[in-house]
Amino acid sequence: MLLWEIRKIIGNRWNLAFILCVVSLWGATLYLSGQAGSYQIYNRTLSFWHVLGSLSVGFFILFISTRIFISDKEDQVKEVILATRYGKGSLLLTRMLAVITCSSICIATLTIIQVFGFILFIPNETDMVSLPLHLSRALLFALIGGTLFSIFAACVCLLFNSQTATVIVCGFLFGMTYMLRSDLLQSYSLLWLLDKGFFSYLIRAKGVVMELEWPFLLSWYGCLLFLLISATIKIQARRHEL
Amino acid sequence: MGFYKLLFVEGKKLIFQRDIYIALFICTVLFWLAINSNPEPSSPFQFWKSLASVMPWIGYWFVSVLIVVGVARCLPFEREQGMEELIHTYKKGRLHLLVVKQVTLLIYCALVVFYFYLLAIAAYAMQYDTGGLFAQVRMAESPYVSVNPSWTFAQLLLYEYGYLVLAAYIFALSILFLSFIIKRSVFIIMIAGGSFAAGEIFYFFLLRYIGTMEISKYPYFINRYGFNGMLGFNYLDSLTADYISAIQVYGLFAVIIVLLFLLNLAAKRWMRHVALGD
Repeated sequence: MLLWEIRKIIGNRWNLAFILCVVSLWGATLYLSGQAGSYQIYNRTLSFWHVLGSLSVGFFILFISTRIFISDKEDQVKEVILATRYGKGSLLLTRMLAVITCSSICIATLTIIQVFGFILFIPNETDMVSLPLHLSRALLFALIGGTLFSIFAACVCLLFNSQTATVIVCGFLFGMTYMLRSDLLQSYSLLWLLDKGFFSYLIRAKGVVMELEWPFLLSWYGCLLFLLISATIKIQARRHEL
Repeated sequence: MGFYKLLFVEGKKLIFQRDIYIALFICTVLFWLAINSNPEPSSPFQFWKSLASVMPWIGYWFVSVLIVVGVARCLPFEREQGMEELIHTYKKGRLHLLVVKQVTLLIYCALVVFYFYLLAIAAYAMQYDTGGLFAQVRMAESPYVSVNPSWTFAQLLLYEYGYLVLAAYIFALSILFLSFIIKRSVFIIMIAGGSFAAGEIFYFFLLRYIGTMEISKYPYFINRYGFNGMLGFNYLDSLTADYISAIQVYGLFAVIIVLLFLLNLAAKRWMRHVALGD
């Protein structure tokens, strides 16, 4: 069942265009950075998740993977799916797992593109020494952020029962961190929360380790997801979809 | 059904969409936060100067979001609601319906732009003195737009409003054309919103790296005079003002609108012929 759901996401025809787009943008970025020297390529590789990587993960989650929660309605097979043999709750759980797995696969693929681009443009061994440490740290945060954002987007999609609404709500909350200047924001203010509270901050992995407000952020993420999952289960149950 | 009744029905169909209100709520909060985040010190005519600058500075982002969300569902709505077959039997033909839909979009654009100006007026009225509506623009010229300095602030704001409505309508008609090719509203949002966001990312991030390269002049030109530049009032900045006057900009936009309007009708007509196989 899980494999079937994963195959549905992986088989989406937008995936190929998405990967080609990321590869060409990443290639162009590295080529242009290379004009300023190899050190610039190294810096650019480290900042892969700041803009291109994080935006790609956000795009994948919102437009491709979250679609499985709404595809039954769009394909007009919702009534059939609701009569699933092992219960609708089990189906929901399977889909959540599928979305999380696919976001992890997406992040792994993006990491391969990131590393492959670096090796292609700068095969210099001295620069390679510190790279794995930086990359693995960024990868860890991207995986955690990707997983949490997948759950968040899935819950929003189930609550609104519309992918368009999910794209608007989650897209705005995800995109806030690109519009705000984090270093100028006052801690614990509303704008600070919009900047760091909706998972794109984790996926971007920009100065995350230096964060002093970790206890607050962790509790915020926990509370947000707990409330959202509880609301989703309650509303799904009320709609007789669980 | 007569033109006005159909216009009313289409307008009702458009404004009763839940997605627009979700986007409107988020945009309102963000626009309000943006206006209040960094207030400038009060000076004479600061209210009118800020009001004239707010749309070219940040307001056009929110206008674009609402245009994308509203227009993306305009054509696919019938398909997604499963009533496309009913529309096929429409007495006066689907071209008539498309004309009405395009007129509805013009009203929608005017309302969206009006709403954000209203919001800006409310926000700035709480910060600055509102006197000086009929003072000349030369007293405190807006840094974003370059117009005749003998205009009053009232004229400038009226002009800006008309400019943004026309620019937003051009953007809306282009998205409508896109929705002939793409059938699902979420993908229309993805492509239209994505291309707008790509223009902004290019201007704020990429141009920093490739600004000195020869190749950058082509994407820069497209960005400057494409949808982003159009909505961001680039047609009124000091560089463009040397070649085209503020009134000529209106004429240019009117020509583009007529062409896009006719293009959409032609596309619909062509698609009907393709569907019938003749």
